[in-house]
Amino acid sequence: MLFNSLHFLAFFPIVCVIYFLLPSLKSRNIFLLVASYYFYMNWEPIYALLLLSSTLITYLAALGIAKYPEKNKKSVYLIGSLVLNLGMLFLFKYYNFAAENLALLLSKLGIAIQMPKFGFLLPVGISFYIFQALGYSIDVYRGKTSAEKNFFTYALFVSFFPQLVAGPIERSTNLLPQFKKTHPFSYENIMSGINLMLWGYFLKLVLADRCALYVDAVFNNVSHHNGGSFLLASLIFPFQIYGDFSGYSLIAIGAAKVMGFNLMENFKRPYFSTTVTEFWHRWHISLSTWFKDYVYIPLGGNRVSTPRCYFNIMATFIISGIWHGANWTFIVWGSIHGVLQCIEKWLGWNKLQSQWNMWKRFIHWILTFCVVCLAWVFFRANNMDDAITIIKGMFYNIGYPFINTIPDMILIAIALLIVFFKESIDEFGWKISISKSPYWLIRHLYIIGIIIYIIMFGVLNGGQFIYFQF
Amino acid sequence: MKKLFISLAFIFISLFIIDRIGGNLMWHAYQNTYSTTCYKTREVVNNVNQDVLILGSSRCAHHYVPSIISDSIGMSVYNGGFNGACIYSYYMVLNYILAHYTPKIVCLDLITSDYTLTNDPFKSIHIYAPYVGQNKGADEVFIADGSYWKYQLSHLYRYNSLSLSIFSRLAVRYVPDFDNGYYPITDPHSYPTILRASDTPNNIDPLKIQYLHKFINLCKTHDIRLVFIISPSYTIASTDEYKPLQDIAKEYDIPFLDYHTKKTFIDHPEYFKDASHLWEKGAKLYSLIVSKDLKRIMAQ
Repeated sequence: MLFNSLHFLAFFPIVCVIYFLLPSLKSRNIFLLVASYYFYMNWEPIYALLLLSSTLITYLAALGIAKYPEKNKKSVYLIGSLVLNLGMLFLFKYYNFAAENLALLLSKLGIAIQMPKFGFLLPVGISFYIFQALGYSIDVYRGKTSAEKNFFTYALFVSFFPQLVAGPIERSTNLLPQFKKTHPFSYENIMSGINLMLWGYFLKLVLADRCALYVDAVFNNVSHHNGGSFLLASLIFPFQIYGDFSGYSLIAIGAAKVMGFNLMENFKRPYFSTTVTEFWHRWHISLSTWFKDYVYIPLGGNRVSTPRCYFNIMATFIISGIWHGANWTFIVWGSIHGVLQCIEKWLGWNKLQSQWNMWKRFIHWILTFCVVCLAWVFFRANNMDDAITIIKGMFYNIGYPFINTIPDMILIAIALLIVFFKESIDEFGWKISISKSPYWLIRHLYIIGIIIYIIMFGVLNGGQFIYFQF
Repeated sequence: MKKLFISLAFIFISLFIIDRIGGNLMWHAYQNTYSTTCYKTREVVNNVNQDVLILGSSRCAHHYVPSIISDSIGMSVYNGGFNGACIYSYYMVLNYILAHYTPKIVCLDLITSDYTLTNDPFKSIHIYAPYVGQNKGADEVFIADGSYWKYQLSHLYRYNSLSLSIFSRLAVRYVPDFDNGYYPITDPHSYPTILRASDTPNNIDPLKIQYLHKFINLCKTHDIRLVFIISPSYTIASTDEYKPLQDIAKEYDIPFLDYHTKKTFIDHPEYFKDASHLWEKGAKLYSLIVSKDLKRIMAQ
């Protein structure tokens, strides 16, 4: 079920009403679990079995880890959980890519083999819930959280519908305890959740899906466009993906908030970053902190020799690229971010950042924005050939860009201005507050205004969220 | 709970009132705007009364010069082509037109996407959203798309994404200089250079075929002569590319003028703007060719 579908707009209020009407914590949790599986099964019912398998594996593994005090016995359960979950992920997401590349490599060595193809579709959100469940296994192993004995509570932690298919990837230490206490009906939580959801819808429907009309026209028809179009599409895509993904995250956080749950912040105005390292502290925070805690630090983090630290950064970002998808474009995208962060570390920018004056910050902001945009080309391009054609075209084939329709471009510009204004208020702490105004009427007019704007200028028949494919 | 009820009641009542008043204001603005799309849509729905009506997508809008065809066949002609239009919108247009007059001949300029599965097949019908609820036949398409009740629920939604064009041309009041619905493409200065083979589609959309049959039956009921036309393209088509359309034409004894697989203009890239569209020079020559064939058909 898509957040931007009418189905969800009917499903969500019904779930909330029943949720608050149910008297006990147990009945509420079981109801939320059923609702979450219903939500997931709307895509492909059979894939709920994968969700259930991952839940069962990590649930049993955690019980096993908690049962034994000896580290080697604990490790057996942890490794079992990692192998089975990552095996499932590999089979559904990476097998075909790996088989294709292996066959290609072998053919270059003169060995011709036909690798069998795995014909199943990629289950929605598989990378998200498997990483969330694996994070729990590792936390139990490390003793950061205790093993959850109630299967239904744990199953709800893995499948909680607002964040099930595209995050934020929650930590057991934050979300699991919230299923153990009753969340009373709260007017403040509901209104604050509705506000977050509406802003999320604005980002998705007004900004991201409008940008998509242009970006898709260019990136899906690379041979028909010149460098001017590539440049313009590459400047618009960063806002499309930001609106799409941060919009989804806000709808998820808002939906959970309505029911009294607090999910972690996933985006913190990333395009205000003045270094790529800072960008990763602001972009997809739940994933970048996951990789930091479960990959980068176990590899040694930055408390190792400088070359080893660079290796750790590169390894983390290449894995992050692979996490996004089975395509060389994602691996290159992750590698670019890794290399850029190594360069920043080498130049000492992260330490110097706080001493930069306004002009230096401005120059670094432009520089960071440009390299992030350039890296996004690999992320968005359908294949490596397209990505190279686009990058080349941007430098050697500049011409007048293709303009789909002028009203679309004007609507993108207006949406960007509104988003920039709103984000500037939060970033610079300006004392302007409309959604949180002390005046009842202003707060409500804000909600009405956002809804009317979405009805008038949103792309309401747009597609699904980009991150669903991961 | 009481606070939440008051908040939600205020929001929903205000939204309803704003939506209905706003929808009314937008309707009046829509009726007075000179935005190219809105103007032509209004013309097609309310004012068209020519003897010959040509319907189709952007290829239709750019390929048929009514004044040339009209001079040749001695009947008035209107070009009802719209960018991205497909069989669903042709069916809607015919229903709107039949509410105020009956053309003598309807020419359908068809492309493969008129009978094959495509992404967002109903995309082109939304320009008629302001007219939801005014014509039963046209509403049938909105219902098939699932957008009918959304447009009934929100009147402002009918003008989704149109507002900017409506208001920008509300102030600039001039009548777009059409030759009865024809949009000329000016000399593009560069012409297509690579002659590609067009894909032969095999993914037939049963709903589109169903609407094609409905369109034909609607013409038959109103005693309208129907002609199928495939315009020239700067691509090489296989002979069976339009077979499903040819079969339907044969079934109903509809004249089928195919200028694509017969490779008309294939040696003249200078008449094209791109692989699918003729520019004005090509369109004028093509209109002369079409009018001769139409004259022959009318004489039969």
